[in-house]
Amino acid sequence: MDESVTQHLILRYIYGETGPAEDLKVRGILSSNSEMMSYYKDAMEIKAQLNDAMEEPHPTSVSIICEHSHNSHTEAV
Amino acid sequence: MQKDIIADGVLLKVYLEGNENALETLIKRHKSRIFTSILLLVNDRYLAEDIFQETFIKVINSLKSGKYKHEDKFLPWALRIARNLSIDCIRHRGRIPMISDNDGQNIFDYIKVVQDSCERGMIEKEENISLRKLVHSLPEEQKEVLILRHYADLSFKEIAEITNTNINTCIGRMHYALLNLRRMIKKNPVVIK
Repeated sequence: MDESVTQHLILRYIYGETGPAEDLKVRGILSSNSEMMSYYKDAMEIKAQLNDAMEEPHPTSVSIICEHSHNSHTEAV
Repeated sequence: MQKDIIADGVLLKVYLEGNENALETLIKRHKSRIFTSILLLVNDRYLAEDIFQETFIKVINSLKSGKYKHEDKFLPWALRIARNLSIDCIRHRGRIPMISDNDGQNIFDYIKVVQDSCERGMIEKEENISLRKLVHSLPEEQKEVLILRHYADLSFKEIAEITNTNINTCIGRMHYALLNLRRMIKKNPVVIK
């Protein structure tokens, strides 16, 4: 299989977009191809770092939205 | 034991029947993904807060005026609104002249950083800011796919639809985004833990 096709398949696997047959295929590739295993590990490492960088809005923003909703509901009633 | 999660569609229905708590549950469920996506697109916390609010106000107005089509999933729909508002904002900001220091840094960035910490008491982790900078420095098309796939949790198929491309192009952009991030992180080992 072409290298980039394999890497794309691994990316879909990492993001849970592969079916059972493709999952088996990827596991087979990872256990037999050290370059692809290295690609997989690198991608997983960056994925973990991106997860750590998740941010939350300030609570005031949520309050403003809820207030808008409440007011528009009251107006409608 | 797994906790039962009420589906977004059910929450929307309950909300439209007048239960305001359902909206709060929806916001709490999706706020991190939506806010992080906006923040990474506009790279400015103040603007991101404004766009986040504007996104949900549009969501509420569309829901209450009956414009929301139930066949759309809530998160992709809300993210589409957030993305469009972010892009409009970036375009508008592009027309506003920047005042830069000797290093080319917008001086208002410094002011915003100071205000942010003083007024809001929010302390961002240094490594988060650095990673955010690296993501922001990716080519636009790669950055967009990375944000929509990783933070917005859209499938490559959904991203292809939103960005008017095909799935293989989206996966290819994601591949290069991760390679570029990996390369930049290696260059900045002190910055990123």
